[in-house]
Order: sequence, then structure tokens, then C-alpha cells
Amino acid sequence: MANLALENNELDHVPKFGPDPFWAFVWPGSYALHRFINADPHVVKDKNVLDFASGCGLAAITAKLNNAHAVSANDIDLYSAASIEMNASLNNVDISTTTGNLIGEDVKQDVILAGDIFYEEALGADVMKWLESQRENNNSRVFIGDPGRAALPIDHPKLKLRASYPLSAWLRKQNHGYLEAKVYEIL
Amino acid sequence: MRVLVGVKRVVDYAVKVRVAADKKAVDLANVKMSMNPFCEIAVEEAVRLKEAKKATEVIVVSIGPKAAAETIRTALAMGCDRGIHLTTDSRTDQELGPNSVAKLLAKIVEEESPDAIILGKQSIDGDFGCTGAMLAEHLKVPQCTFAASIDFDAKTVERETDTGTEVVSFPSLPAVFTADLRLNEPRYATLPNIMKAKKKKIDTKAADSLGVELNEGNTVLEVFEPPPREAGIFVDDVDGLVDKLKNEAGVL
Repeated sequence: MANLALENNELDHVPKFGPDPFWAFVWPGSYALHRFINADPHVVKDKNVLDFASGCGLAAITAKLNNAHAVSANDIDLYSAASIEMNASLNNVDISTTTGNLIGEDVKQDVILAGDIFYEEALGADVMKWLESQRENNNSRVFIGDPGRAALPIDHPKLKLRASYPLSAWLRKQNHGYLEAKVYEIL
Repeated sequence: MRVLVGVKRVVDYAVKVRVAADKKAVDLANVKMSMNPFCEIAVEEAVRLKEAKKATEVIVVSIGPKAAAETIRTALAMGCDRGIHLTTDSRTDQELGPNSVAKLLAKIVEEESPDAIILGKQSIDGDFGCTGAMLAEHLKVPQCTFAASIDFDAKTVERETDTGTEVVSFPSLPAVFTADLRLNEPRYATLPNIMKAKKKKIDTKAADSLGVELNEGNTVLEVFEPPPREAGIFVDDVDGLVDKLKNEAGVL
């Protein structure tokens, strides 16, 4: 019955190598974007694609495998960038990585993918504003993958639900409380 | 439906407790602490409600010292959405008793207005087992204590008692439920969930800032260990056993 304890620093047994290795597993939002692109490859075909807050790079790699013109994966974590490059080479695709904070920047991309970024209210509000500006200024198509986190403004008038995918048993185990992940587009 | 779960940080169930030298309390220095096992069951029930799409949001509350935030993180890693931490310097095993905790939880319920409040049936440190009942009374809502199963559609709860299983119905929500051992088997918090839980929000406020009078009206006078059991003896033969049962134990 005892839970895997966070208490008494038991997690100190986990080797320390920089910040949390959140890039070591697939997040449900990226999984939804991956399914969405595979089901509808013309969304990215011959397009310049940015995978924002890329994590392990799943959505970026899927975009490139579906014939995107150029794919850039961004995450502010250096370890994440290294893991994206390794995952890309394992899949024999070319993906450029950047680690700067893009919020507020004008990135001029045809398609922006944003998976699991709405886990904090303050950050979520900033990201939403920035993604909307990219939609308005550059006519970028913006897709958001999310399993139902509280900070995603699902009542936002410009947010359109595009698809919903059930999470596999394995993904459910890594994301207690979530059973599915959705893809929204900013109109 | 929104669900509020209360969790308590207690001495881990596997720890053999020691009484402090002044005999006023159990020694908590360098002792492994974890979530109260019945609270784990309450969390599990709430997360299952969320997975069944019956609950839209699960809020976890804990009252305790700074380190209780870790207990809240554990609940978030199990699948709760956000946490509320009421900080206190009082010892939650004996100074801050069930009535104070019930009054504090009632305040949080007023603020959050959840439809269901799920607690463990008792903590394994104070062992009062009455926080849930007191909370329901403060809120003037139905209570279903010692639940072994909860059916929100039929509005019934199974309670295991010494004389068999009771099925009780609750008229309406909001209501308070307390979890018995057999309600479910709680899940483990896996590493990916623990990491993601760090990004979930915990609101922290001082327990004494809620305008609740925290006074139990009773004081612990002394804490002592039960007397050690005396060693047994071997008897030579059946006659010897019968003799002891007759003349020493007086049971024959």
C-alpha cells in the first residue's frame, strides 16, 4: 500500500543529471499531435514546421516523417534538445533544434505544434497570447495537443477541437487521471 | 462533479514508533513520513472518478507542516489536479485534532464548493476516525463513513460493519465520504507522474489565517508504550498444560 514515496528524499536514489528528464518520455499532447499528423499528413507536407516545447521531439519527428519541408524543434532545456537530436537520428530525419525562449518572438512558421504546454495558468496565458499572435500575424496554422489540463482555455472562442485520441494503457499509466488527448486548432 | 480529497502526512505505517524522552508525544525526528494509507484510498477513488469522467476536477487538501507539501505532491502524482496546503506548526497527530481539522476543511469546502468530499476513514497516528463525521456536521451535509464502495449514480454506499455489509443511500450531493480499506487499491505514483506533478499548482496559506478557532479542548497528558509482552514458557506434557490452564489461567 505504501506509495512510491516522495518523502524523505527517497528520489535521491535517482541519478542526478541536470533538471528533471521530462524529455525521457512521451507526453500525451505530443502523442495526440503525432496521431493527428499521421492521420492527416497534408497539414505538414512541404511546410515549415515548428514544434514548440518539443520534449522528446515526437511531434517534430512525425512532421518530418510526413514530408514537412523543414522542422525546427524548440525546448528551453538543453538535455531536451540533445534527446530530440538523438531521437531524430534514430528515425533518420533532419530536425534543427533551438533552446531559446520563443514566447513573444515572431517565428514566421507555416505550422506551429504545441504539446502539453498548458500545465500552468500564468505560462498558459502567455503561450495562448503568443500562439494567437502567430496565427494573426503570419497566418500560421497552430495546433495544440492537450489531455485536458486545467490551464487550457477550452472555452476560448478561437479554439476549435480537431481530434481526440484515447491514450494507450502505457500512456495512461504515465499520466494518471487522463484517458485521452485532444488536438485543437487556433482559428 | 468536482471532488475534494483530504490527505494527511503521518508516520509511515511500517515504522516502529518510539515515545519521546519527555513522554509527551511520539518522536518524529528522522522518522519516515508518508501519506496516511486511508487517504491514499480516498485519492485513488477520486482519481478513478475523474478517469470515469464523473469528476471534472480533483482538488487535494492537506493541513500540516511545510513537509506536508510532499504529501500533496504525491496525491498530484496519483492524478489529482491541484493542491491546497494549509500550513501549521501544531503537531497534526495530537495538537491539531479532528474538530479543528474539520472546521478548517469546512472553510475550504465553502471556498471551493465541491460536490463530493472524500477523506480517509481515520489517520493511523491520531486514530480518532471522526474528522469526516465532524466535517459533515459542520457543513450540514449527508455523510457516508467507512465506505467500501460508492455508487454516485445510484447514490448508494456500501459500509462494512461487524454484522455484515450495510447499503446506505445518500439523498443528495454535496456529501462527505470516508474511505474504508476495501474501497479500492491505490495506485503507485510513477516517475513520469511525479515529474508532471511538480508542474501542478499548490495554493499555500496559513491555517490560522482562515478565521477558525483552533482549540480541541483536550490535552495529551502522557504517551507511553504498551507493556512488553512477557516471554512464554514450555510445559513438559499435557498434564502440565491442563494444570496451568486450571490453576494459573483459570479458564478450565
